[in-house]
Amino acid sequence: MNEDLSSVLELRDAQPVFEESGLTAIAYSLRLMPGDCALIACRDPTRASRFADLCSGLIPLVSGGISCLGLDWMTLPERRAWALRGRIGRIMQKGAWIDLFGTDLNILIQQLHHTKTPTDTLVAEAVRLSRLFGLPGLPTLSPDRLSDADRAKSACVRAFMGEPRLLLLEEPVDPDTTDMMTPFLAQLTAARERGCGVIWFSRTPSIWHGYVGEGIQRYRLLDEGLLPVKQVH
Amino acid sequence: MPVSEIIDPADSDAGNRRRRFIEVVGPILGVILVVVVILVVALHSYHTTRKGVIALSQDLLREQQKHITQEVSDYLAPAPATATVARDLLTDPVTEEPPRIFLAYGASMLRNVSQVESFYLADDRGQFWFIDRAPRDIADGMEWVHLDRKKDVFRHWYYDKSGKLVRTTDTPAKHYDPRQRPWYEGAFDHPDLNWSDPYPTVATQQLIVTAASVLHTDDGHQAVFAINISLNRLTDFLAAMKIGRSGQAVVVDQKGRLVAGTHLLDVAKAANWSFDRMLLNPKTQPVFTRALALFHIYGSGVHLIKAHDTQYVTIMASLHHIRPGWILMLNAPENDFAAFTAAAGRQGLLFSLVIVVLAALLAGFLVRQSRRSERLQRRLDRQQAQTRAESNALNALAGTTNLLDPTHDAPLLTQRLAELAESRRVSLWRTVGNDERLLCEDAYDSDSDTHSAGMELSHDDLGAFFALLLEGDVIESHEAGTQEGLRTFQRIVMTQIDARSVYIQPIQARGSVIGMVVLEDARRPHAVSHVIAIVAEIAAIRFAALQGLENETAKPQNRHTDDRSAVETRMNEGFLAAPGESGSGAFAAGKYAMVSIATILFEDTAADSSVDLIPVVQTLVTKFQEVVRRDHIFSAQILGNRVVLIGECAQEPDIDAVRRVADALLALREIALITLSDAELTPSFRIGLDVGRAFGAVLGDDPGLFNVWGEAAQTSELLAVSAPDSGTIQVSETAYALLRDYYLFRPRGMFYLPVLGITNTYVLAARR
Repeated sequence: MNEDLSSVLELRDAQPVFEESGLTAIAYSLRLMPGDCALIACRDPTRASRFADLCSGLIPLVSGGISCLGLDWMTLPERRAWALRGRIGRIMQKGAWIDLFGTDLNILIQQLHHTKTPTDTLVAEAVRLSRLFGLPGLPTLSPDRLSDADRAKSACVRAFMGEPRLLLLEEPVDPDTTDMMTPFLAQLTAARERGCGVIWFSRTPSIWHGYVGEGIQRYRLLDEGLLPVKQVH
Repeated sequence: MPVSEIIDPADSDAGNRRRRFIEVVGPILGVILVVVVILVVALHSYHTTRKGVIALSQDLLREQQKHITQEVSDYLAPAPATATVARDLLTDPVTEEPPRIFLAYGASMLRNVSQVESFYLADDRGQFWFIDRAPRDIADGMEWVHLDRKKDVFRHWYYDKSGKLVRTTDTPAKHYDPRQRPWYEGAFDHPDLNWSDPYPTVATQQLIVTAASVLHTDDGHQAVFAINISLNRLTDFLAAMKIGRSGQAVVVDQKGRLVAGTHLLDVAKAANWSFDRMLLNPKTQPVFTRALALFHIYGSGVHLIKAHDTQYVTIMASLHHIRPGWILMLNAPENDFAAFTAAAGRQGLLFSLVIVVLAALLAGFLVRQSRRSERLQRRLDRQQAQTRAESNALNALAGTTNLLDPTHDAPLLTQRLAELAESRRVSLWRTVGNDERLLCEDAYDSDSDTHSAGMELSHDDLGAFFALLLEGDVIESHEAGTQEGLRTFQRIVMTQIDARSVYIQPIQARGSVIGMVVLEDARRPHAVSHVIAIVAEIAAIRFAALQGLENETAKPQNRHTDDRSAVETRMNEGFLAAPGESGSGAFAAGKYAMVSIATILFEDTAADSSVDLIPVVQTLVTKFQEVVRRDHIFSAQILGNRVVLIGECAQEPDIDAVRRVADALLALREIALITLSDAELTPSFRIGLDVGRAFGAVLGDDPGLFNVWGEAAQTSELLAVSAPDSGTIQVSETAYALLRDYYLFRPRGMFYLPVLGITNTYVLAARR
């Protein structure tokens, strides 16, 4: 376990600009330490996406502050801010796939852009993750030609590439695709052991049933803000 | 997977790189700019000055040309003037009698006008009179010559300076008839004044030009008066002219024949005194040749002509009003006038370059100083960061609760030490069992950011190393593989991460060594030797307390028999298929609740190795068999690259069976480590142990095949696959619960395992 004492993500009464975010302009507070996992139930997928944008430093603030890995998004120079976003693995509700390219390039592009890791190493890592997530190998078809289940697995592979320090997962697994749950949880646990902070958004909180343990926080994202949920074992 | 980011967002120094780049490149660019500006200014100045100087030299040459034209005009002026005067004076008939006026006028002219060589007077009846200067023996004397046609002789009268006749001589005339001479005939083409082409006189080596005019005498006859002018004097005059430093002037006719000027005599001699062949030589006089060509095209004017890589300023002027067809040409190298500008430019450039060199030196000093300041600043920052890191590390250690309590893990010890010493791996070892073995309590691998533990080193294999360690001094080697005493340690331990250098600090308590701190591939162990010593002290307290605890903890009552001979090893079902025994009642097929299963998974890292694997594997398996027999393992199967040990198939927890498996695993691990290391192979294997539900049966018939499958088998394999490090034994929570009283364990952490969900796993380290 990484013993770093600084938080992976910290929202300190962060009040987003409503006009640009669509999020209720109230103060959000959250502190995610290395290895912590925040399970956030949110019925509105758009709101969850906006909140993930807020955590990624993409939404301006009226007041408060958000820091990622100890670096304040608001004061970080633009180049370093984009580099910091390279350390975030994200699964988006809308997929955010570029259909002009193959899924393989979609998966690799973030690491190709942000790191000097040799392509062969990246491909080997992507293949390894693909197999772990139940794909026979790194998918090369364009994302729109993959089945929903395979696209979801590919999204997981993309998010876990490059040992991210923060994972923002918007509905990463569908309750119907239970075969993916095992590798997903295994990778999630491994990532947390590495010190990665996780925010897992879901419309159906029942999916987290049984996923309990130290460092797991539960919230509900509503118009009223981010409300903690009492832990029930 | 190691990640190498292009931009490190946490690196606040990233923005300073541009500043540093500007600090270095700025002065250099400045110097280059200064050099370019100086060059441009110098070039511009040179060109402007040169242009001005050329214009000035052209003006100068024009003045020279006017002057020379005037001089040439003055030189040839006696001819027309004399002709005019002669037409008025010489009206008397030309007879046998000396023509007094002609002779007097001629003598006067010869005395006063130096360029005039002689005068002719001839009429249409063939009378011919001639006056020129007397030979040198009669100083300033005159010579009269008359053609006596009857005798066919020239009669010569020589008079001295006072007009007294000195002598007379006759020379053969050889039927000389003046009327057939070109000067006589030509005079009638231009009766006022006719200029002949220059013609040489070989005897006197002179080029002469004759101007003739027609006279009408009182007796009604026509006579021709001619004046001969020497061009040699004109040549001497032109040669004496100073045009720049090395300028030249020539007079040529339209056909390029040299009339006067430089090299006249050379050209005349080369042409054998034939005027028609006295042409300008393009090889020796290329400038004049080109200038004449330009004159034919453009007429009079000033031109720049390049010849022999030198620019020449040339000027051409027509002498038509003096002598039709004659052209005056002057040239002078541009450098004669502009050389000083180039010299001044060069000098200026040199001075500027000296300034540039000085500026560059200053810029270099500036950059150097800036770099030095930067380096010093960085060094200071590094030292401050180092101090901060050390303080933080010590604070973190001091702030760790239960740091000295051996029942609580303290991974910070190795982790912080690895950070401070920049070591690839830091491990804490303690001696167990009367200094017979060294047990790894914690090893932190900074490359993979993982902790591992449980490795054991035996005195039997590492006698020399143990002896070295027990001396109590720091052991240090840059090439552990080549140092006596460390070689085996390097092969067994350090090859796991391909480490070469090692720094070992013995951990001492009450004067005896009870363990060691090992730093592999550490970059700066000496800088943090005091921190290493502190960690060693802390570890000493922990180890001493642990030893005390272990001694205090009474060994659990041996509730179970140690007589292991009761269990028969089912070798034939594991290694070789055998006839099923289910029929005999020896083994009942069914679902068992407590099956202890261990999986040893060998990774095939030696595929490309040159080592002959078969004997190694053969040796390994033979030793495995001995251990399996010794520990009475219920079943041992070898399947591909994995070995599966089954302790017992039982419905109730059977601690003896699990202990036998654990004992066997510890022994097998040691055998595998040593055998593979001895064979120069990387010991790359992982072990998993679980106790749980499984199905067991002898399947098939003749021979029946004993097999166990189910949850415990799966978990055991998964634990082997996910074991934290090579050579480690990862056990499940259930196995840990059964074995914790007899063995040393280290919790590895929380993991998600299929079916089981999130669970804890442990690393089996050694026997208590």
